[in-house]
Amino acid sequence: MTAPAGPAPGSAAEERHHAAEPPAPVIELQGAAVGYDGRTVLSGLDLRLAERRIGVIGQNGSGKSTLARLLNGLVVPDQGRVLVDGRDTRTEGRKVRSEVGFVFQNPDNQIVFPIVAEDMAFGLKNLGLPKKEIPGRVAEALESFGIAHLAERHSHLLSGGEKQLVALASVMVMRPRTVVFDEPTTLLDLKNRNRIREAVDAMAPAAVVVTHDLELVSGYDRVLVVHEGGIAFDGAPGEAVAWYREHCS
Amino acid sequence: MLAILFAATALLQDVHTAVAMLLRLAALIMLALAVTLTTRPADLLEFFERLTAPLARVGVANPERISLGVSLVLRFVPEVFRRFQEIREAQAARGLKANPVALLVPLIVRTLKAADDVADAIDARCYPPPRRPSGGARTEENPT
Ligand SMILES: Nc1ncnc2c1ncn2[C@@H]1O[C@H](COP(=O)(O)OP(=O)(O)OP(=O)(O)O)[C@@H](O)[C@H]1O
Ligand SMILES: [Mg+2]
Repeated sequence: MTAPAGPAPGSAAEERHHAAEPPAPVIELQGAAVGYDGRTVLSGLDLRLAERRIGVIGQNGSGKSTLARLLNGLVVPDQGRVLVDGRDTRTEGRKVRSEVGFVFQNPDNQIVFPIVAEDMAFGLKNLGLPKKEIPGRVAEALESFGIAHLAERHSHLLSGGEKQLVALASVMVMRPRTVVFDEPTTLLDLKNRNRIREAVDAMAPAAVVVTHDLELVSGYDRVLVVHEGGIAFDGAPGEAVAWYREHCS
Repeated sequence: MLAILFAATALLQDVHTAVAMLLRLAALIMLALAVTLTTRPADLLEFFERLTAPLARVGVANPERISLGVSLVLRFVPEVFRRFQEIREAQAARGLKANPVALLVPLIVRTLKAADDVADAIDARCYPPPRRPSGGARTEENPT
């Protein structure tokens, strides 16, 4: 059931793990339960997440987004706790969020500021970075996603694919150690889906990716299936997808 | 449209909230319309931050917060108009005649949902920034 602790030697995941990178933070869920308006959505969650690429699959409404939001304290558990490198998301939410970035499904709602470069600067200001260091960091991040030409554009007039790259860059510019993605490719066409997929595969931080795109998780280190209020399967991608196909279709 | 929004809030919440919201919305929409047509957003934010800097020094207002508020209005106004168009077209395509209630309910629901999502996105990016040391307040943490 449980995946190996780290990527297999020589695997793609191993290659991504450069010596200079800090290791992925350990995210622990201890007896976590969460619901809305008294209705329990997820309960009895006991997980230790430390792999570099983790996929999360499951049916609509199964609680994938809720699980994703637990990981950086956007949602705090009603019972139990969630720890990121030992920090409780309930009491140290802001610190946790500076280490665990979040990319939402709809980049329209993720992009806050009207000009791309301003939006990129927003997170850095929130981290308290000195003003004079901000433009350099922003330029570097835009460059690394091949979107330097978008810096001065109106963020809400970009195409869907461009918006999602901006949303991703605006999280990555904050240098998180893990990034949680909630269906990052759902609204995109095939070409942009591949672009985001490549960007996620190539990025240095660890990633937890919620998706309905079963192909996306095929090379991952570990895949969780959310089903009937808990984690119904936890293991290698091939087996997880097979379990999901058998039980959820 | 504002009148209906007012009535809805008055019913669902209370009149006080409704009045406050109505005035805030009306003022913001007019302001936003006036300035979006004439100014580059970055210049506008800079302007607001400078305008409110004296207030910030005596601790009455937080310029960053005001600048965030203004940008949120700037980004929501065109979006609300766009959504309005979308809903109208979708309803027209199904043969519905223009009906203010049928238009406004989905418009309000969708706008509130989007506002909720944006609020989460703002949280996720570690807002608010730590206070500057010169302000005398402790910094909550020390990012590296
Ligand atoms: N803010 C909320 N308030 C009330 N109920 C909610 C809220 N967010 C989610 N829920 C409910 O919790 C359950 C799980 O929702 P969640 O969004 O986590 O599912 P999901 O697996 O991400 O679904 P999808 O694949 O459609 O995105 C659903 O029944 C949903 O209606
Ligand atoms: Mg979801």
